[in-house]
Amino acid sequence: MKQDATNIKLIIEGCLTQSPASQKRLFDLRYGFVMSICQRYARTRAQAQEMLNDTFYNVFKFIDRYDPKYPFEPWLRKVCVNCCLMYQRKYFKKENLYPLEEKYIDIQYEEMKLPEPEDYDYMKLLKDLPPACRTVLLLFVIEGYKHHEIAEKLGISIGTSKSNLSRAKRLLYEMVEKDKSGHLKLKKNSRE
Amino acid sequence: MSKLFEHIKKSIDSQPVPKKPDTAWEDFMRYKKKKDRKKPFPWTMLVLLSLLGLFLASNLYWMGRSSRQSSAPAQEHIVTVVKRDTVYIQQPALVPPSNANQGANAGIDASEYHLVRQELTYLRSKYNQLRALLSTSNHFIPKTSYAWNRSGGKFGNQGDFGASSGTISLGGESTSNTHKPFGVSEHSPQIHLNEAAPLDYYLLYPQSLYGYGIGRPYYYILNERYNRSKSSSLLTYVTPKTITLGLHAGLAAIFNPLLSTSIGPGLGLSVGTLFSKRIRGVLYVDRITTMGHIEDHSKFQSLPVVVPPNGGTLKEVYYDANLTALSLSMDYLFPTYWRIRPFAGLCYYYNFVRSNELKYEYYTDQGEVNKLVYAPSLRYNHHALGLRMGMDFNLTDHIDAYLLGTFQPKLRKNSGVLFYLSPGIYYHL
Repeated sequence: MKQDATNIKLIIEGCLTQSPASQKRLFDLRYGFVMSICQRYARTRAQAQEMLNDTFYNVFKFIDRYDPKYPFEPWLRKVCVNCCLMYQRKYFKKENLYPLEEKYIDIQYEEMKLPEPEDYDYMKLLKDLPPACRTVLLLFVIEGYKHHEIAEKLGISIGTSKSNLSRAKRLLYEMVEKDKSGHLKLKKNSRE
Repeated sequence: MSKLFEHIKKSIDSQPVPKKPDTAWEDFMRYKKKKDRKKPFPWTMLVLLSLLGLFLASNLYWMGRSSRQSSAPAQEHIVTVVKRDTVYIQQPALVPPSNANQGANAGIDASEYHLVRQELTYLRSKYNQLRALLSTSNHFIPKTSYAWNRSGGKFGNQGDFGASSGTISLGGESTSNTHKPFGVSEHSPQIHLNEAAPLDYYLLYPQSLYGYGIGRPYYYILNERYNRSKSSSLLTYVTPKTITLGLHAGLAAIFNPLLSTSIGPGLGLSVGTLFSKRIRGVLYVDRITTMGHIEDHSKFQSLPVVVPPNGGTLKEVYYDANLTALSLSMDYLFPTYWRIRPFAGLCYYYNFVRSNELKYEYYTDQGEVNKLVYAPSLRYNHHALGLRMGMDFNLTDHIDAYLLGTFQPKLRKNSGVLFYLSPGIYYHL
């Protein structure tokens, strides 16, 4: 672990001098990490690939802004999320991104018994969500942003952020409910 | 956090790390190269915006200039007359005639102006008499025209007022012996009033009456200020001030570092317009045919590789380059000296270069010179900025000769420098 940190430090120093070898090394080392983040925000693999390229392009370009006193991964993660959001803003239809809707969550959904993540493909559910809902959900649940931070990042109001999260939640519940009848076939065992 | 979100987080965290495909780095490098590629400078947009800016600026210029114009007398004996919206003509002093019997047909001179004023005064008085007479009986002029012979003094020859011929006299008073404001008996203009025109019309628009009385040239000058104020709509400013159509022919030389100098004739057309007094926009279309030849063996490599048959050795190469150049030029016109007006400008040009054939001369084994023709059909286009300067020489009112020098600098790697000198002639409005 310590050796890995030392390696990264050396690689970043190389990247600071725009050394292609160091850049390639960093790319190889952190490809999986970045790709896993991009895949959450992208619908297709091609979109994820483009988000990844954009991320590494910005990392190599603005590597001098990285403060070596702090760990590298959170900085890389932040750059990656920002690139994913930029990509969404650029290429996804604006009108479909962040619609403002009323909050409504049925109490029966809250009380619903959910399958365990080990037995169920929640990632597939995420892919089926509308982009706006998925983005807000990921920022809220995975990245840990508050609603006002999400609103600031996406350029939307706090109310819109909250409504999108509620909508995502409702849609996820609906999909799980549908799947109980075997409609979506999301159970891992059933797929296998 | 709800249970659903916890499940999702857990599910995402448990996802396997994606494996890196072999081509990922190459894909990234391609992406980086594409993104690093600088966008070409938007010359076309720059030129269009410049043209638009010039167009607006010139209109503002003309509007501002017009608003500052005035035709007030500068001195007691000098009258400034605005003939067009930009040209000022100062006429000499209008002194009273020394001899009233001097000919009025001797052209426009100072004394005539004085006579015109006298005539106007006289016409006004007659007009008032006419109006006073008619207002007592009828508000309309009879349908047939009448004439007023000044030297005769009244309308006696035309019949009396109310007669069946429909002509009017001025109450039979005789002015022939007492009043001769022009002092020229043979000069006898006539007043033709419109048929059935209401009398108030002439009261409101006395110019229509005076106009016939004083003759068109004088009328034009005296009413110029009125006309100018009428024409002060925006439309008059946005119209081009003049249009030029030109034809020129000249000699061009292209200096290319990779090839030798090629020289050839050129022929071109030009269409231009004047945006303001000093700015002119011209569109040129030129066709230049040049021919060059290379003896320097080190420069052969810049041409398509041709291996002479039977082990021959290349001696020299002849090549041609046909160039069709479209260029848009913005010229600044310097002040005119005598009949010569120099100008200099910046031009944006777009060149279509076509090369038809290359002729290789080579030595055969026997020491003879042989020829080999190769048709590469070389075609490429390029565009850049150039400089133009020259001079116009005024020949007649509508024809000018001009000498035009074009310099297209080497703005790109391996591109040539073009000099093009072309005398020509153009017609302008």
